[in-house]
Amino acid sequence: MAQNPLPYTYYSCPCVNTSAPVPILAANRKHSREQPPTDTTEFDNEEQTFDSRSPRANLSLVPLEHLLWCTECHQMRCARCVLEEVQCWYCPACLFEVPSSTVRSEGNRCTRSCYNCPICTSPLTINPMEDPRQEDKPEHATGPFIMMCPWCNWSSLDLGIKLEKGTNVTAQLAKIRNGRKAGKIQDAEVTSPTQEQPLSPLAIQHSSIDDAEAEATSPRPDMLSTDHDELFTRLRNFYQQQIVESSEASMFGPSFSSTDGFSSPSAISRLLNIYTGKKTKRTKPVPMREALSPSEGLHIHSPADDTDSLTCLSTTPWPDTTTTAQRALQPGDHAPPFTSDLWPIATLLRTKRSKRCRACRTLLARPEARMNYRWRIRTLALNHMPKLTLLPLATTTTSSGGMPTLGPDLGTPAHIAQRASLSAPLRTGQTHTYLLTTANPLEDVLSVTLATPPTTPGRVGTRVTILCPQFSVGKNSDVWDEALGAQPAAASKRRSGMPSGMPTVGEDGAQARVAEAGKVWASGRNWTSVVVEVVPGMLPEDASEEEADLEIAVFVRIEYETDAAGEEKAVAATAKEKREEAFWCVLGVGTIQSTFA
Amino acid sequence: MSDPKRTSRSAPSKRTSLLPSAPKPPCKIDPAATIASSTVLAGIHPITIAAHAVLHPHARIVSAEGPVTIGEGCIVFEKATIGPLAPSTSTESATITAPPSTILGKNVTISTGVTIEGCAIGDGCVIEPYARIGQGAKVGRYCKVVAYGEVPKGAKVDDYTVVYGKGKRRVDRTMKEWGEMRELKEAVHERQVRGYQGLIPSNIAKWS
Repeated sequence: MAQNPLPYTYYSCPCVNTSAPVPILAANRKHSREQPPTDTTEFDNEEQTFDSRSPRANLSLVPLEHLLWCTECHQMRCARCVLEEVQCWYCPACLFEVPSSTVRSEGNRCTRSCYNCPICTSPLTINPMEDPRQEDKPEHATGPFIMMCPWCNWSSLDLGIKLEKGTNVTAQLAKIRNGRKAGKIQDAEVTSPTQEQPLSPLAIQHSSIDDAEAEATSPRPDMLSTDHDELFTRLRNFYQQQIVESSEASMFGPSFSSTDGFSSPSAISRLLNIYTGKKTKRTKPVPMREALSPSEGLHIHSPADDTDSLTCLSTTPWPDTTTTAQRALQPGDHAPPFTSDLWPIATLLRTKRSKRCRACRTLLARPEARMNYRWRIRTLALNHMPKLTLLPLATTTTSSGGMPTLGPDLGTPAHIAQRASLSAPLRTGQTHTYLLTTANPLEDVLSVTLATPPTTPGRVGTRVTILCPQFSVGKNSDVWDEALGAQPAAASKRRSGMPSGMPTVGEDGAQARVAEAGKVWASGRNWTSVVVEVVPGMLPEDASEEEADLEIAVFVRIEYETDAAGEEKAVAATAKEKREEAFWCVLGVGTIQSTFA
Repeated sequence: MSDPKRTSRSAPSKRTSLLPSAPKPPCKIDPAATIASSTVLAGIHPITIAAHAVLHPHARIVSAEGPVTIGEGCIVFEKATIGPLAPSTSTESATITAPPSTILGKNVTISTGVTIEGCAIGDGCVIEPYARIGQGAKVGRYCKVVAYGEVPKGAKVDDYTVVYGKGKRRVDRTMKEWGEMRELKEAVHERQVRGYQGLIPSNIAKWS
């Protein structure tokens, strides 16, 4: 996680433990068997401290902004522990919604006029081919239209396609394509009068190789159409017929056919007859035969095809051949070897999804159905969980300009300066002080308890001390309350042991301030800062980059009293409900400087 | 960047530099060209600008290293730089006897922030924003270099080529095979030039 900009705070979603409880227990047992049996804490998951370097932790650590909140379970929900439901399909180009029945019948592509360039996949524009110098121009563009790529200049003229209308391109393209196919078939029928001549692999086996070559050079009998769809329909028809014919001679009697289906009443009565009635004479079923002629869907691979394409390939320059990606994007089985045969790709539809909690199926997020990107419901963890931020405390700096401003407003230049100082490497054995600010989004006073292992796990063993692990954070009341009326109350609460004035550390008099154990450094309307002391440990000589990155796992437990939720509200409006939440989060501090470098 | 306070004073609206202004390059400008007054023409070699060319404000034409010729109907957008900037001290320039000239053909569009260093660009080319054409490159007719694209030094780009992606090239068959499309393009370009001529106040007198 070294690539993340410092400082960062990741929240550990508890789903990593609940979703797979069995493997964890098994792993622990196995582990404890190797360990002395006195180590019973291994069994209890709650007793273990969070190790941010474990491979499993990577799956559960998420920035607060990415988390949703389940209002029923009172827990954060990450992308892994939500259920997604497709609410609607829409085209990203024209933003039209497509009913899911249409998606099922016609596929997940836009059926209107949205196409992507087959060369570079950017959306195509549909332009009229008319001279802008024309004087008597009609109000609406007339005349032929072409599809053009604004990026790589591909146009439908490369395929020789001009459209009559600027709308409903899909239907026009399909018409042109079918027309071309039909044209090919007609040509083929004219050139191959011997199409009904049976030509099975067996026949080829009997004939000599010379004969086969001669056949390959002569007008091929399988020129009916080598189009995939055509072949498939012919083959399917043939096999359906075969099934009918073979089943007619089967034990179900002559009148049974596959079109009736095995669940039809007649079939059931026949089945009953077989078990209850007298034995009828069983006729031996006629074996199904394979396709023998091109009209039955037989397509024999001819070596001439290969030589044709090989000679074509050898004469075509490299840029004119298609890439694998271009071929993969082509519709259906159309995979042309040359760029000149590429067809425009209909735009893929996208989905709008609603998200539900996996545990209680509560809706966490639900997009609005209409053509916009708003949400009807979206419960963010950001609005329900305290936000923790770590910043270096620059107590030794003498210049007042670079002094940090405390508080959750992280956009000030002072904080940007601090972030720059965060990138400086940490020195082994030196005490670094940081401010851990907890901001409260709730409208209730939070009492927060922080806990962290005294030394970070692993070989480095950095010592971490939170000087004031228990404190309370004010409620997220109206900003104007503090500014207008409630000034004395807020002032008495804030800055314990700090002279009144601006909430900056760099004010004169504050410079000599020493962080005291058990005392809050500063607090405001809905935030409280406490000091964290970090003494980086010794990096081993063969330390990896990951080991050099210092991350502190902090266990956060919050308690607050809130109005009784939902149905109880009517019974006792004044009743307060006590809530308790706890989670692990990981604070990224910086990189420890290697003493061996 | 007009400051309302400054313009309200009785002093001349433009701030004038205390330094003596740089000497004008020898210019040959067609009276039908449109050159905004904040366009920069600098250098010592001749600059030729043909009819109906449009130079947007803050476009830079620098002839310090060699002559610059801008063809008929060319459009040069703001912040585009035409002509090599840095004095060429490398060994390869020593072998070149004649100063590297920059020539733009007819109806060339040079978009915002493009850098054109001593090279030849053919008729009807479109150089999209922030593209870079290296020294001594030769770009053919009806080519297109996409945004942030790059034509390396001394490279040759054939007619009807689209330079896109990471050094990818393809032949624009639409332009190559359809004369109709070329005509259409020319018409659209002409219309665009006429539009800009109406919008940009020309100040040729400043340079001639």
